[in-house]
Amino acid sequence: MLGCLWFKVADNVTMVPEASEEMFGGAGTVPAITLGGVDSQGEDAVNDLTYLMLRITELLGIRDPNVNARYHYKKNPPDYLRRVSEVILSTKAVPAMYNDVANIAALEGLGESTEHARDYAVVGCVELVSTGRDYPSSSSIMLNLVAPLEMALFNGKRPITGEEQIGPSSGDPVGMNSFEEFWEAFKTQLDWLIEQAIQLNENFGAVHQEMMPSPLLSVFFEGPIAKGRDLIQGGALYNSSGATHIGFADVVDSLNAIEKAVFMDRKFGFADMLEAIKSNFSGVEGEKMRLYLQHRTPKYGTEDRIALKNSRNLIRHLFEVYQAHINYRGGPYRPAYWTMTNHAGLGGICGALPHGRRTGEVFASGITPVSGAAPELTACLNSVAALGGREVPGGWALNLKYTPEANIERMTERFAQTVEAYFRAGGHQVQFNIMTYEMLIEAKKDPQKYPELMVRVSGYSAYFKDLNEKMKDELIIRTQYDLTTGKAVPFPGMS
Amino acid sequence: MRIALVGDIGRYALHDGPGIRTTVFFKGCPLCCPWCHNPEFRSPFPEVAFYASRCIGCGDCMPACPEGAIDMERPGLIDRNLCNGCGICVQVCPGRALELVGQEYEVESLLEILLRDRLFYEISGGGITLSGGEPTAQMDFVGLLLGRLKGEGINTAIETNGYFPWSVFAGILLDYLDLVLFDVKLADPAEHRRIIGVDNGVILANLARLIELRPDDVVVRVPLIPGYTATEQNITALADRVRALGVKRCSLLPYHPYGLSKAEHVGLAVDSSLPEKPLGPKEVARWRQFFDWAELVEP
Ligand code: SF4
Ligand code: SF4
Repeated sequence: MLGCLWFKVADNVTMVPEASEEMFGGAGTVPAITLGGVDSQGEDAVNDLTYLMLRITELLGIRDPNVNARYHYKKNPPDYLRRVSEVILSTKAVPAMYNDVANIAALEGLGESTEHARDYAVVGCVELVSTGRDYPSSSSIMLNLVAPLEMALFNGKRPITGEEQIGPSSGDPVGMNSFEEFWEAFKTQLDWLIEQAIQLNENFGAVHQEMMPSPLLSVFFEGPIAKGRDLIQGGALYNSSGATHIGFADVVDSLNAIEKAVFMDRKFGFADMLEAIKSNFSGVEGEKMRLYLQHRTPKYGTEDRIALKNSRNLIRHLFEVYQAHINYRGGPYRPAYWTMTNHAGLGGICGALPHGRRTGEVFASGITPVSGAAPELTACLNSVAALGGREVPGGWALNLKYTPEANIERMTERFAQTVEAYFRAGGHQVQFNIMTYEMLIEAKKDPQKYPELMVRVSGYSAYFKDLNEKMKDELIIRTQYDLTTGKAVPFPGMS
Repeated sequence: MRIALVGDIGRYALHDGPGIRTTVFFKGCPLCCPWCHNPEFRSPFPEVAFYASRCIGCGDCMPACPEGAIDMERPGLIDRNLCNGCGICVQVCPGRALELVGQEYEVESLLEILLRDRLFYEISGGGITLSGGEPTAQMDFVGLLLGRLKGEGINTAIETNGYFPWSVFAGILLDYLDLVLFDVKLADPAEHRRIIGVDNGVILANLARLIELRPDDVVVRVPLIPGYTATEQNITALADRVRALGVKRCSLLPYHPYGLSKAEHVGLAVDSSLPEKPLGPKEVARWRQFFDWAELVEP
């Protein structure tokens, strides 16, 4: 019966325009089902039905429903963590895992009562809602963080739009004397862009309120009837709007590269760096600079001090900017870091960047470090977890790829321990692809061989064959860690 | 000594004691086993490793070297007689082709890194393993570090060649150690001297004292090296010897050729008699029989 339910949930597939394939490639409607964790009283909510649903997920191996497993490391039994780990290793992709301790704290931080926060479920990709009480509009804003970075580099202009002045002028970086000056310029552009996005969202909201009330939907929520107010007017108990961000890791690494190579080591002048970026690191000297920036500057995902500082500062700044706003329904904005396939689509239209990324290359997904930049698994998990807490109330997607192993039992043990450590350190969410570079390269070359290969994209599952070429490549190059060594496996042909 | 030279810090180590561990590879070892699997940690000085496959041939390192040790035409790039391990070339190389092996740490700065994975140790029953090179060659520092680790409640292990002054080891290290992984290689003293450079008398005497004090916390590790240690005569004698000392737990370490390429990277000559293939499971099973009296611990 559960199997039939799973199929029923999965068969709702909407038609989407082609352009949306760039940004949301391979997605179904992503109906989410959330298992495990604690109940509203804070007690272990894992029961027989949880295990049955995990079994069905394992047996069917289908894209939807988007199954999410909550895990509370103080309340849920070790058997449950082991079972979830087993299902992930056997389906190679699902369910995604959520840290109850961190997520409940994040919802409480936005003013939800403890009882309501504990009763959260996942909607869409990775967004958190108190079930039936929260009307979150979680993808109200999808903001490309690389755009304000480019505008800071080029004084309000972007390579893709040429001479057009888009953002405010924040100064020519060539005249800057410290990294702090550049950081201020970046924030000027970022804050300006956020203001635009919020204004647009408020306008949409006003139109929505006037033209499209949702009486039927309102009936299913706590709040509208008691308050006598439609959902769209702020009738629900909680009324947030989500703002997700694309290109987080690429922006942090670019900030690191500027701070270290331009201002600390004075390895390159800002003028030379801008020239190289404009020319997409062309020529021998350009390529030398690109490799230097790629290999010898601090990386998010390594616990380097500079990288930790810049990643934390960016998270904190975004949180503070959004908290200064109230949306049209009277609720807060929630910053988040999930990207669907926007990181591939938007990467395709952005210029070269200071951390050595070439024009048009994909960005890293979700909150995940740049591919190849975080060679050690524990350092990677620690530096992502260090960003956790109340400043990411909208959720994040961390994508990890692990080498499959022959000895499943041993792998399950290490897999579970590693997730546990990441959660205790504060990580909100993690999802996996249990596959190798070679497997995915072959699946791209010869789709017939892998007709049902299911992958985690960035918050949802898709069949690999359905993804566009750019997104296939992004999945291929994602760092593959080996759980027998805790190290990144070198990409084929690289040493 | 409050400063140590460390060759590498290996996180998520699964083969140097129980659980998920971090292994510190100290630089410098008084022995010279031809099959050494960490030859880049043998010298007690910093060295530059050169990875030819990553070199883009830009030539930036050549003028940067103050000693004139780099020549683009030289197969291994660096003249090891001239190089003093200053690391300047590493700073300019854009391609990750040059890496400095050997970095100085104070106890506090090393401790800060080692504690980063504390949650992983706690959850998996792991901890810290001190290896090398030979950690007891930097005994004062190791004593201080172990003291701090114990103060933090971290499980500790050492991997040693056993060639150390007993009184110092027993005086400043042993109380802070939960596990000693003790390597023995050759039973015959003359062979030991001929191949490894020193007598095995000190090593076996240290093992005997250690077993007397802490019989349950010692794992004797025997590398299985074709043509050297993995001979019927040696394994028979070695197994008898350690059994007679009262050793309870052993590990066999099958030969693997990865030491060979690592030696090349730091410009060391490799022993051409060593095979290019790892020791197969059949061979390993054969040598295991000689240790059927012991608890065999998976390395
Ligand atoms: S380490 Fe110093 S001396 Fe040795 S090759 Fe590099 S620059 Fe020259
Ligand atoms: S600087 Fe690095 S990449 Fe350039 S020639 Fe020297 S070793 Fe090769």
